[in-house]
Order: sequence, then C-alpha cells, then structure tokens
Amino acid sequence: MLRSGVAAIAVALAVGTAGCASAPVAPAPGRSGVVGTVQLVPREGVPAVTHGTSGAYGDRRLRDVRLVDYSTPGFTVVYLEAAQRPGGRVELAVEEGLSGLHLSPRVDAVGVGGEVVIANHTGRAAVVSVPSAALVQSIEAGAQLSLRAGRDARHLLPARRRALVRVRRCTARSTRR
Amino acid sequence: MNATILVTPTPWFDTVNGRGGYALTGVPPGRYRVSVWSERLPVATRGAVVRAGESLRLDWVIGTPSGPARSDR
Repeated sequence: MLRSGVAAIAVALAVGTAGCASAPVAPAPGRSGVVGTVQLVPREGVPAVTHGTSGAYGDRRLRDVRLVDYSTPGFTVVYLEAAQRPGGRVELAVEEGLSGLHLSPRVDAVGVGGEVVIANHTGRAAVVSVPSAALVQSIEAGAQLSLRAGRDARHLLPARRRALVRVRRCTARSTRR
Repeated sequence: MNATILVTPTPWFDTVNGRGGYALTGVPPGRYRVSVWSERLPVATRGAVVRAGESLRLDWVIGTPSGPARSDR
C-alpha cells in the first residue's frame, strides 16, 4: 500500500519488526507537539465486538474471518507530514536603483528541486553570479535565467556570510561575449 | 506470518495506545499534515498548525459508517 509518501511493507516472518513503528520519539524540551485520541467507528449494522467474545463468526464457512474489534484502535499510527511540498518556484528580479543594481526580493526560499528564475528588469545586460551553481552568466535586458535548486541551495537566501546570488553591473567586455 | 512496517515521512509519529491516546512531542513549529494510519481503516488526514511552545489537541473519530466492506485488509 502506498499513500502519499507512506509505505506499508508486508514482510514474511519479521519478528520484532513491528516494534520499529512504535519506537518512542525522544521529547525535545521547549518544543511543541500534537496530542489527542483516536476512536474507530464500526460500519453501520455491524455488531460491536468486545474482548469477551470469540472474535470469529459462527458460520464455519467464515472460520478464517476474524471480527474486527473496533473498541480498541489496534495498530494505529499518527504521524506528521510537512505541509509544504519540496520544489516550487521563486523569482528574483534584477532591478536598478539609486545605489546601483540589486536583487529583489532579497530573501526567499525554495524547496529542493525547485526552479529559481532570475529576471533582468533593467534596460541593460547584467551579469549574475551564482557561486553554489558555479555559474557566472550575462542576462540581457528583459531576459531571464532559470536554475534548478540543488540540495545545497535549498535556502537560496538570506546570505549570512556571502550572497549566494550576486549581481553586478555588466561591463562592456562581458556584454560582447 | 506477516508483519507490517509503516514508514512515515517524518520522525514525528506515535503508535496509538490501547486507550486511543497518542502524543507527538518535539515537533518544530510549522504547518503539517497530520495523518492517522490504521490497519483496519483508510488513512485520515487533516491540516494543522503547530505553534511554538503549544501542544495542539487533535481528536479523531474515523471509520466507514456506510458503504461496502473493504476487502483489501
């Protein structure tokens, strides 16, 4: 069974493997959590089975069929999945201000495998430098550059130590390339 | 003889105890999908926002009150 990234694997004679799913989660002090209860509801018309019954149908043709005891949750697991899917798309614009060329927005993020688009909104060519991708490339006025965010570029910005994407004014030499 | 191993997408999970209770601790704040997987019923999912320092209460009542019986379990 495969459902949204969750795989349930049936294996033969796996003694103790069910314990893997019940491994306790080490609590981290000062962090938040989710608590609650799970109650199973039987189908309409199905008589409730309690611990005192045999747990099987009386019909011998159904001797291998076991009644489900909905009064207990059985093997039930509650788990979290990050709501935000990896990937996505983020667009940076090369703009020109009083202090020269700059990128806007200055802070953004994209998931692994996402697309990073750098669009030149100025009236002249600009050279962008993307050290994480070992890329230095000129973008013509009105044109754009598209990159794929690798694992090491998950957080494209902010740049704490150095800008992962830099832009500088295009020189005459680079324009002729 | 067989066994079932549930592989969850994140390390934050808990097996529901015999009284139906569960607790996911050490969860960083953020938006999540919270799912309940049972060997007896289809997966139930809902969205949740976990805030810093708070314990979010989520109670579930899940089942198949009508419709055909499942044959794949």
